[in-house]
Amino acid sequence: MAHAAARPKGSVSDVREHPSMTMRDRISGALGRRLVIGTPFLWLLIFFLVPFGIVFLVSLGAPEFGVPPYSPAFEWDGGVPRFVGSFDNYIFLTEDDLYWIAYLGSVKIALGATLLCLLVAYPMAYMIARAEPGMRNILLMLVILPFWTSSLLRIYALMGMLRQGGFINSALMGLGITDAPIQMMQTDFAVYLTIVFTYLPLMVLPLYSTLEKLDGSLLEAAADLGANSFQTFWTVTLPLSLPGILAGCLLVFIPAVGEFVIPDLMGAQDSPMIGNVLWGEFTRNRDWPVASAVAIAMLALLVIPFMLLRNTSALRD
Amino acid sequence: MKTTVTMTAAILVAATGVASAQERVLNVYNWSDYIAEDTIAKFEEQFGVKVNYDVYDSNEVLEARLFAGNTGFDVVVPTSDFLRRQIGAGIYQPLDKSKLPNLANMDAGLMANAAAYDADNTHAVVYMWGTTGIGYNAGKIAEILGQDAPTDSWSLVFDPEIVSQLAECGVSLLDAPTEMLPAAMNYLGLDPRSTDRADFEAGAELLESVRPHIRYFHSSQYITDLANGDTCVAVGWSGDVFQAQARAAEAENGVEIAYVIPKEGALQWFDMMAIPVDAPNPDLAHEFINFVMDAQITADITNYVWYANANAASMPLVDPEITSDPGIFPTEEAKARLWGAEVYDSRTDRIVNRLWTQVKTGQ
Amino acid sequence: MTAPIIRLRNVVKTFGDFTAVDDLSLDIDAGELFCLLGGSGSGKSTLLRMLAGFESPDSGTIEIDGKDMRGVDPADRPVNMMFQSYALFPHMTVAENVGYGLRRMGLAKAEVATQVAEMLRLVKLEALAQRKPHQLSGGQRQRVALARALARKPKVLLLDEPLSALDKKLREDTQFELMNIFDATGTTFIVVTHDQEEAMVLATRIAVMDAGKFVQVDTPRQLYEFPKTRFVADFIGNINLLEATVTGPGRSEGLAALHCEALGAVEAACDGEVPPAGAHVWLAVRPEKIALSTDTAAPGYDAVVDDLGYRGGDTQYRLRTASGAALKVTKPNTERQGQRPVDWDTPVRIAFAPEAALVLRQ
Ligand SMILES: Nc1ncnc2c1ncn2[C@@H]1O[C@H](COP(=O)(O)OP(=O)(O)OP(=O)(O)O)[C@@H](O)[C@H]1O
Ligand SMILES: [Mg+2]
Repeated sequence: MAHAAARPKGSVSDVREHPSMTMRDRISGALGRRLVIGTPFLWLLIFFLVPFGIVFLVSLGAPEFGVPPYSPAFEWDGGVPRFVGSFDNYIFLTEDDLYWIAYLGSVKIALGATLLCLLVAYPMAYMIARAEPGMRNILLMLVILPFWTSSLLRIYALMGMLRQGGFINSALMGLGITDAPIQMMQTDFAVYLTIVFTYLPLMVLPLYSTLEKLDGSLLEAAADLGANSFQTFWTVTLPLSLPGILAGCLLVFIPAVGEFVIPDLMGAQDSPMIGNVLWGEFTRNRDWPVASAVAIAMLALLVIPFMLLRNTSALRD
Repeated sequence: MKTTVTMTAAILVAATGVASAQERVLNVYNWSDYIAEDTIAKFEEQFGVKVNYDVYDSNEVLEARLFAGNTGFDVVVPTSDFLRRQIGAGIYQPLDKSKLPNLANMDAGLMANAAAYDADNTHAVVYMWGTTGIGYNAGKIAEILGQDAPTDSWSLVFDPEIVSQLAECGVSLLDAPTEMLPAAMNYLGLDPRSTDRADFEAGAELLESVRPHIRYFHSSQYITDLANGDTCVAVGWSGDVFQAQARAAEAENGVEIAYVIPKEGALQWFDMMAIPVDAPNPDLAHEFINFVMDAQITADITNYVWYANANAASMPLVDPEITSDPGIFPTEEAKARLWGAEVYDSRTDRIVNRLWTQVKTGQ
Repeated sequence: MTAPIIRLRNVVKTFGDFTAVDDLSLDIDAGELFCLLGGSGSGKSTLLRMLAGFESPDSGTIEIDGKDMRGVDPADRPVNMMFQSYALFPHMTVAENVGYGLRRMGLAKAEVATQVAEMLRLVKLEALAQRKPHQLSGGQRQRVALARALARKPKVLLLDEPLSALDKKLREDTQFELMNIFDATGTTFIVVTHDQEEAMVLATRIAVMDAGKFVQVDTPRQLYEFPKTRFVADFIGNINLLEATVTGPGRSEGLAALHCEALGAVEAACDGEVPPAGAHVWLAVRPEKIALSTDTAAPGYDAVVDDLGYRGGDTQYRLRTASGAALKVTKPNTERQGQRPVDWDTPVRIAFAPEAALVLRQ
């Protein structure tokens, strides 16, 4: 792309009209473009598809005693790979309700947390997008700042707030609002609160970026055409921030489904979560193939609905 | 069997620098908060080497890394039952006992117990050992159950009648099925080392009967919660409960924590020092193990972490407050009722873990 | 006539310590196509936005259709605005955009559909009803914005630079289309523009704005022929401004005799009373009102052609008078000529009727 940089300032559109563009220019331009488009794919290949392939292969093996603790899915038979694996592990997953229940339990918690996150993040993002430009950066910094510390440290900090003798209970009792500490740790409340707290920036940032781009004159146009502030929000702001909402929800929902640290530390462990089940397969049962099958199945169940969603017009526009 | 309390310590230790090329380097992977403050520094000074000291907080984490291979560790400290399975998978190299003169310091009886998991102590020597018993808030228990509370019995956590009274105050169990199910089986009068499915199911049923009164299942959270008075009873590892006790004392918050090896008996476990087959520096690993078996060094560690050691020569150097505590060094009578963990095959593991999920979640 | 549809009294709007609109008073009658004309930053948009209700005046009153607009929301005003950027809702089709204001009025679906169809017919966009804004050309978007603003049948339509996003050719066509629509709807239009030609073509009346004030409010012809100030004279069209001193009344009623450095003794018309002798004034003559002759014996004043610019329809000459002053003269190119009658450095004679020149006092 050195080529494009060397050209005096000109937008993509005037490339087409540039009479002095030679064939060679055109070809290397196309190559450059292909490179630019290709890089994310390469990225995807290296950091997603290759690990995915490895995990998938493991899921076709059987647990074994040794290093590595599973049998390979392929054997080399005189330089020719021969498939010796099986899909038994996937069949096994269907034989015990636990996996389904855990998956649905995780989806339920992730959905709830995503929704809560959206409800909390939307007004925040809206406010930041409407703030003075100078103030905006400060507010954004405040949103991102917690991300710079380890999430585990943040979880421990929340524990300190929520526990019986913690900050909130001390404050409530000190103010005479309650006279006995409220049990907040090891409750669903603590789990949801922590997920929301942990993932909030992932929701706020995409929302902010769409709301910030929202043309103020559209809101004025709506008001001018007789919309009150609620109607303006509902018919203009909300639909136009839909891409941000979807991006934020995906960014929160997908990791939240696999989350197991937060339910483990903050919850009462009274409902199975797929993340914990996977962890248990991997460590306690030492069954890497079944653990891999759980991971692949979880990914498939997560990705397929979103692939379908992607094809709806809502995202394309 | 120590669990993490301070993550930061682990991060700091992991971040310590890279040694120069010629310098000999030893890579140790141990439980978090499980060594005296000056042990590593002394070793480095005495042998003129650099130690990379990294920590973990569960056997599962250690095992996953070992099975993945190429860990680069020279010395690791698995718990006895895990050790045995890992030896079976060919993960450890036999020790060269000629390089371990301090083996003479070790308590023959305890080493013999540990040999149940490693014939002739071929692959490992005892680092520390402990029991899985009950930690409780003495004041609160007396307040709720009166002076004749059964604080010396598993009924404190396994009798629904009693646990239900303590629920409000907070009861936690270890999130460790291979320790909790045998304890429940033992309470029912069954063999805690049984691998019979029916026995496991009976244990699970008992646990399910008290499940509504259990606040959570976790293997480290109870340390803080006991110390703060946020929970009243926790099944826990001896040294961890003593740590909670020390913290409460330090905070002067009026919380008094006690640890008991219940009269019905308890699990006894050994954390073992071993050298992986692919250790980059096995000679130095031997030197380190021998160094830890020094009477003074082991005594220092016990004095710091409040776990029992298996080093007879160190006993005179250990704080009498520790040696006289029956929770750390049990009486002969109590010792007779300790049991060692059975090593399960993978089918049994699956049964145990599935039952455990059922206990915890009702699914 | 009935009461004016818009009535401004001493309206002031400041941003911080900057006064964007400075003590404006104005009446606009129903059925006018009123233009606000002024340079960038002169306060046109600010005034329009106060009418729409997006800004509120610091002091003064705005009445629309006889009602004080203080505290009335944009949604509740009998006006609609067509935005400079069009502000079309990108997620709605053309029909949905046009129907937006109608739906807010709570009209039945069928009623909305009929009125939308009617509006689209008015702006000739029936065929594109189901398109999204990004599938339209600039001119089509402009018409959607117009239809949307007209759909609620406002008493006053506010248009902020309605044509500025279009290229020159399209802009001229659209000017006439806009006038047709104005005629068809009978709505009062207030158009903001900084293009004086556009204002002249469109407006029934024009308010020339400068630094938040009205400099002159008049019909286009009046503004052109009788500008009250040098600013207006210069802003609207081309003009020669020459310093002069009044020497007395002219030969006939309404004329003043002047002495002008550049030309010597001249006579020019006064809009109003003849200033007293000795008054310092400016002589203003439009370039096309000056006659140019190569016949050195013709009446008038001597000058030399310094420069000339052929502009197709006409040619602009830059002349230098005997005293060295510069003058602009334009001549329509009524015939196709092979050779220029007047070339560089040609000595010429220039003349203008006293009635064609104007005396400006400020
Ligand atoms: N919200 C605001 N805050 C501060 N100053 C403003 C604001 N709106 C307008 N101004 C200032 O008021 C003055 C008048 O602005 P206005 O938009 O009315 O000009 P305009 O005549 O429409 O100019 P243009 O032809 O460039 O659109 C400008 O100097 C502008 O900088
Ligand atoms: Mg403007």
